[in-house]
Amino acid sequence: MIKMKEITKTYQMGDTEVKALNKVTFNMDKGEFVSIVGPSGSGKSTLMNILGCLDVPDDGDYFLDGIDINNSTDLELAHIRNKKIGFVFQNFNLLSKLNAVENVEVPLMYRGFSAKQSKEIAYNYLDKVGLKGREKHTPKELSGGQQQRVAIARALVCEPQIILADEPTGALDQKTGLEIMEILNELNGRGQTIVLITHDPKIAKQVKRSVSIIDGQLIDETR
Amino acid sequence: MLFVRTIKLAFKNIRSSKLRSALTMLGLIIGISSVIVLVGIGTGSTQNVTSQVSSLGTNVLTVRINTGDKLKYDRVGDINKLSGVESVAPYTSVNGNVSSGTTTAGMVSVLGVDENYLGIRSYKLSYGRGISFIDLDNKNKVCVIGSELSQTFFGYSSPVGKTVKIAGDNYTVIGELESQGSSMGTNADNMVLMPITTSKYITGTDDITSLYIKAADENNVSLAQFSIENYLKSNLNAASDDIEVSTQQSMLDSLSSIQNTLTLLLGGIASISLIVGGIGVMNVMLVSVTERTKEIGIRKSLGATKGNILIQFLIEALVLSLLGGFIGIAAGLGLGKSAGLLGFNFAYSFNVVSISFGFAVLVGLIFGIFPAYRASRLNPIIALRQD
Repeated sequence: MIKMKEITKTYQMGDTEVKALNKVTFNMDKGEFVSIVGPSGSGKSTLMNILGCLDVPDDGDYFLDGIDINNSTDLELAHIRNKKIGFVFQNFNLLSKLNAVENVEVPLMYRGFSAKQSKEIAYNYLDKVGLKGREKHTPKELSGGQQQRVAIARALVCEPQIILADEPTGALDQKTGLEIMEILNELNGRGQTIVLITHDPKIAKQVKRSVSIIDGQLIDETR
Repeated sequence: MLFVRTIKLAFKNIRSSKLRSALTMLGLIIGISSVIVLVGIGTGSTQNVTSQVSSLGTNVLTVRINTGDKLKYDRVGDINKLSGVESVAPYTSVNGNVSSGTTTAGMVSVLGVDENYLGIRSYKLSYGRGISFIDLDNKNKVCVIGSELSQTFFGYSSPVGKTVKIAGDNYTVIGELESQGSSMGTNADNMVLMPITTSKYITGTDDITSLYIKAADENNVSLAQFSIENYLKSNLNAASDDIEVSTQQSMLDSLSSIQNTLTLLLGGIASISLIVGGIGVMNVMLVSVTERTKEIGIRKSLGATKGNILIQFLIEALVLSLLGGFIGIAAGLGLGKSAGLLGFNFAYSFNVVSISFGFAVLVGLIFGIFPAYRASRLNPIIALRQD
């Protein structure tokens, strides 16, 4: 599913060059649930951005589902993000002016679904994450856990090959965090490929396979 | 499909910041309504003047003799026989005081005319009769007075049979002109007409400096123009500069060209406010892009292409300008109508309305493109990091 070979990404911070990723090689199969653990500044956000096709590496190869990401145009990357990747962010990143169902519909809209179709699908996914009856609520009217459920529904709605969850429990209390982890585990149980990025080793431990990232280098503890 | 949704989204965003949107649109509303009102008033007054001029008839020529030998009244019969000429109305003109009893009116134009004058000028009488050839032959001390003058001296009753005093002599009023309103410098309502043979006593001369000539054929006014110019040149020993022959059509043309320039000028000034309104739209859209950086980042992470984002912001700018345009047109037409009630001549044409509306759309597009382009170029990573 994911084949990364010697990925390097350098940022210019004032006069100094910062190597956010240094020859990172990372492979992942379909249906796996992998956590990437690292302290802040370790390069995990950069890795997440590259995995999510929001950014491209300076050097190295990245194949997602057989597609050469490094040699894709901006437009192709936008389509890949739409069809193959579902993002779940720490701070939910819902559109505040839209209600739950409208938020979930956004990726479908960019995919060209009709209003009727996308509404039906969005309702269905909100039901799956346990938000039946709250479809018309705006993010402000929902608790953190509920907002993250909306975000998960939005990530799932295009049936992506891979879900990228960046600190999905970071803004939630422990109990709600566990609920979210439960949902992710359940999704993985049904065959969903998931990458979880976190700084918290306790959360990483709940996942089958865990890799660490320190100073831009990946240490694979399971292989 | 996406398009319809984007329009709905634009309305949602405009609604969610009502005050800001209203203020933005205000610039466009003022711009468009002032274009409509100013151009409408310009066109209206043009139409008004044009209709006044053409009420004289397009087959009427105005002749002015500036220097050279003066034309005597007894020559007029010759002019009448020229080819292309149907009738001739010579006149002399002098300004002076006219009084009746203790009432005096100053700066009244006293015209010496013959029996053709009223016909050529299409003046009508509300009382009495006009100057006849008998008055001319007998050099009768009679006059026809304008309606305003009549009202000053005699109120609303008929002035026929009353006398007015001009330059020390008494003249019997034989008729009153219908009110004409003032047009192009001559106020027919404040005028005294008397036989040209009689006016000689006031002006001291029977030199004719002006003539109205009615051409026989409305479509061949130039024949009359040609023959009168020729006649005057050969008989008065005058250079072509000394004789001015103007057709109503040429006066109409030069008048309307002046008015058109004025209208364009007014429209131009008003268009500047439209452009200022457009800059307002751009300003608000730029602020909106900055405020919604996060939203743009989220949308990009969910698969929005640069084109999707560009169109979203462009449509928002367009919807703003279209709304402003509609309201501006309504306000402009409303203001124009009220200006019409206040006595302005207001005429709106579909062209002006559609052009200013098109201009509003153009303004929205031009000033919307830059902010929309900026939005579309935002780096999703940086945009997502914003709060």
